[in-house]
Amino acid sequence: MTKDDNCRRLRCRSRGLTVLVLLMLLSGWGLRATDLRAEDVSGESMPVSDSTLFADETEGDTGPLNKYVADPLEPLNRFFFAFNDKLYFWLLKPVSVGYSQVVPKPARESAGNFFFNLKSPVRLVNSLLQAKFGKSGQELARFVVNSTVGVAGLWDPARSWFNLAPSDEDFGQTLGKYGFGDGFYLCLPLLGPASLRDGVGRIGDYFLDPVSYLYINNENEAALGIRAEDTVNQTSLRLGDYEAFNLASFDPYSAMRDSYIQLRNNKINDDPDR
Amino acid sequence: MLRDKFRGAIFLVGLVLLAGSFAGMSTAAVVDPLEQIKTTVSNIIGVMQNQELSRPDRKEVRREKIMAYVSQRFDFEEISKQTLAANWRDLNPEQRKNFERLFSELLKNTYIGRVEAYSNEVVHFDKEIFDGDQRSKVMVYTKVVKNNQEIPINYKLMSKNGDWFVYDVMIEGVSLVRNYRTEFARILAQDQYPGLIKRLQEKIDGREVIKN
Repeated sequence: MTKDDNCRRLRCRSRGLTVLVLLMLLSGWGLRATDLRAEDVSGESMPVSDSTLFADETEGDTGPLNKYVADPLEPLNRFFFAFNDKLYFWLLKPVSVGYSQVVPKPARESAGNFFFNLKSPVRLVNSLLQAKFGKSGQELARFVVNSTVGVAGLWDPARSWFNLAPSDEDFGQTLGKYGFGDGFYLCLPLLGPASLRDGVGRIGDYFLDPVSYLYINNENEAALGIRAEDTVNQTSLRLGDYEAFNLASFDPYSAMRDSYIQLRNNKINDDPDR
Repeated sequence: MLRDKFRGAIFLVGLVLLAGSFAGMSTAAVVDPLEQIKTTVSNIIGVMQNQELSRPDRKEVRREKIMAYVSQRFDFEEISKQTLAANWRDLNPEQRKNFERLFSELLKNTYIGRVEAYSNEVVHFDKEIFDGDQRSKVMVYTKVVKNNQEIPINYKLMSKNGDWFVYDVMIEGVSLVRNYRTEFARILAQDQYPGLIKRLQEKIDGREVIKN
């Protein structure tokens, strides 16, 4: 074998290799173009097409006028809806506006983070009850990181540094996951829209919220104070949302009812354990 | 020698396939709905964060610019058609145009107010899911991160003349079209078309009076 022969063989081999690699790449591209479901390594499937998303679009159908949820208590609900509306404009909004003018936004956002962090047990336990072990682990990690590094939950380094997104679980959703339907619609005074199931859910979550234990230990003033602060703080960060909602809808009561039910169903059927 | 020719042929076939796959990919890449939504939203955020336009006397100019970007991407005729559903058929072209004009003004007014309130939040553009091989419809997933919460805002777009236009917006899973469809159905059942127009007009005028 001469040196030339060796070189030629090498060149031939590398050319062959190039062709092989090209063919592999091509077949990979070809697959991706028509592949409907590409599994990525972690086992999560990432569909690039899913016609069920568009299945509920009914072109010619206006649907029954009240198909979302039963509302046997409508007159009472409408009364409380109007009551809450007045309460917002006469009491909650002026207080929140004043509050927002005194307290700078970053401080209010930190306060919001603090209260959100306090409700970790609610999200954690309900994730576990729904067998969302990944989510519950994430929630625990968030709580630990934010309570320590984030200084008692005032900041959210869990999200910004570690990319741990917050979850949104409550007992109403847990009940929904277990097959309980909405029941019927309720518009609760002070608390706003709910359903029979979600009302029961609130009672369940009461025992998971740390602030409730202040009530249980008869520290009513402290508990009320904290709840009031939380409400005013949250409202101050969302000023304008309720007004926009009212302006956008022709019948705010039914719009809120329908939106609430859609929202809850969406949350119950949300992405499985991420 | 035969082997060389064979390899040459494979190489040529490979090149042709490569070119073909590129062609296929490039048409998909040129008009990508996720990119278009990103462009529109970024343009709007750009207007919001523009120092020069943030002065109070430039408010109208700013709103007009935002409305222009919105109109480019949203298909208000399709949205009007979908929200009236079966009742659309009963309207003559002039009535349809009138309804579309008023409804899009209501939508723009309402949501411009929200865009102004949410302009400093971070928007994530997540993914897009098509409706199947024909790729005539797509859902683009985005998220607005406000305080501690992520608000999913998804856009449904349909393909028209090679471009993508929004025909529904879903905020936290609540569909704009679905909500308005129910509301309009109620109004039309009670007051018919003139009643609907009257209420739309009242809403728009009322908007001028009440401050956000």
